[in-house]
Amino acid sequence: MSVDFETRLRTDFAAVPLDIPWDAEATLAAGRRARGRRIGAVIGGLAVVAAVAVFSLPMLLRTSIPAIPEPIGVSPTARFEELGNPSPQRVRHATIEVGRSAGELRITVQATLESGSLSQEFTHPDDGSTWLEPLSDQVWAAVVPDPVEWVSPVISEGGWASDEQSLPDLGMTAVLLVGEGRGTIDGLIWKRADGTAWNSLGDEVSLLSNADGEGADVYADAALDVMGMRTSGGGMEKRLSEVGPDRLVQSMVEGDRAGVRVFRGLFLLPEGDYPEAGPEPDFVFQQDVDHVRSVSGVLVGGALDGRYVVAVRYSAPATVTLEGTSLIESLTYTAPNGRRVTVIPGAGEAPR
Amino acid sequence: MSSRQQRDAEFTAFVRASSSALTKTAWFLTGDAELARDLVQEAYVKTYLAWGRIRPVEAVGYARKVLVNLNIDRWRRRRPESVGNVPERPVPSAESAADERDRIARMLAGLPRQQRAVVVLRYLDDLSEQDTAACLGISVGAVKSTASRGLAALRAGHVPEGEPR
Repeated sequence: MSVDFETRLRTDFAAVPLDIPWDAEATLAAGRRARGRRIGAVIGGLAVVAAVAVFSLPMLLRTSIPAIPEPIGVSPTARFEELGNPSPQRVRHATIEVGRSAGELRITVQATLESGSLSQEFTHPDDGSTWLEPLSDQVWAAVVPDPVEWVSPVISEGGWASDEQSLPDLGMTAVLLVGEGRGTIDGLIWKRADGTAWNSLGDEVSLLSNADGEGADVYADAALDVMGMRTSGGGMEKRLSEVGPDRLVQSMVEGDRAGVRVFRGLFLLPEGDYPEAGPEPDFVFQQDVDHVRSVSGVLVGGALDGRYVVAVRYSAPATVTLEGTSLIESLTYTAPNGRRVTVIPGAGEAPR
Repeated sequence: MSSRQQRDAEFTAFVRASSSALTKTAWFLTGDAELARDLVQEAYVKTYLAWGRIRPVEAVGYARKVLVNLNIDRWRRRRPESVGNVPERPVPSAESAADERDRIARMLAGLPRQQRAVVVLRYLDDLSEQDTAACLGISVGAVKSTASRGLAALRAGHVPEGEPR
């Protein structure tokens, strides 16, 4: 890379006019309010601890001391901060504590929402299965029996924010999910460090790692009826039963960046179609679309092992709205028998 | 002046001195003025909460690191708008040519998240490779390779005006 280009980039950055007025007094006031909330939370916590100590002391004094002390159980705690969109159900902070003893997991979830607090205890068999429970209409919690690279919820409707925290002492992961509205979580899919994907039913999930060359993973799972992509910016998913062969599986808006709207699309090709060594597919886009890149690959493991998927990322002006026909007019690829197959999204294979 | 008043005065002076640079960084990390404002505000609040533990000379670096981490956190949590099988159609733009700021933001928009952050920190904030690595929590080698890939992508796909393609 030439120094000239770096110098020009620095010059361009420096020349950018960007003068957003800032109210320092309002910022200070916001800082003071946050500090007040923190102090209030600490005082409240200390009060709870003191009350528990006062009420439990008599019971402790009546408890006999065993000749051989019982082993102290390990109860790792995952902590979460600020999750969900602004709403009464937004989680300010939460903890998921997991204790293991006598073949059971004791799970304690405490969450402070904008609208109040939640505190619930659960028990779950310590048998390698997933624990997943609703705490309210919009807040769910889970404990996954693996260390994970990522976790994606399989959702019934709406948008969900999720965050995961590892529980390294147990080799597990705690997950907190907050919905934009009321909804349910049908299950979870996650990627383990060994590069395989699993679902909360205990099945291996078909996975194409690094599907776009930038770390995005594509997964497809017949058991939870879902196909999706996990990207650095979040994820998208689609019911597998709603996806016909040769169709655009999913088109989504990844985000707007100063006048540019970035899209992603996923294609699931028919069983046996599209050899790995074959050429990349040809896309035809409508006007005003910049084709960024497409990558194809094979799903590994699970019920859809061996099926090919094509992932495409493209951009258009941010004025693009969603109506009518697809920005992707067609996709053409070469089948193993050498014939060229053209697919029109939403319409299946094009007539020849 | 009480210690609290002195602390608040120091913090207010710090905000006035740093808001322009931090807002610019946030804007180029996100490409969105409102989002940039929210991120900077949240970074300032977290910096205020830590004000007693950080030295004034470290405050900008601390706030910038919080800002970058908040942006990464935002990416992790955001679920992109899903449109399912609903197709899209372009609508002709009524806007005129983008200004200089939007032109650079468009260049950055095509970069993956980490490349974008490295390019912004290295060439907008003019941080050293070591400081960029510390801010992002990655190695110096990763900064070098990521910056190289980011610049290559910018040059290949988004050449600034006046640069021959």
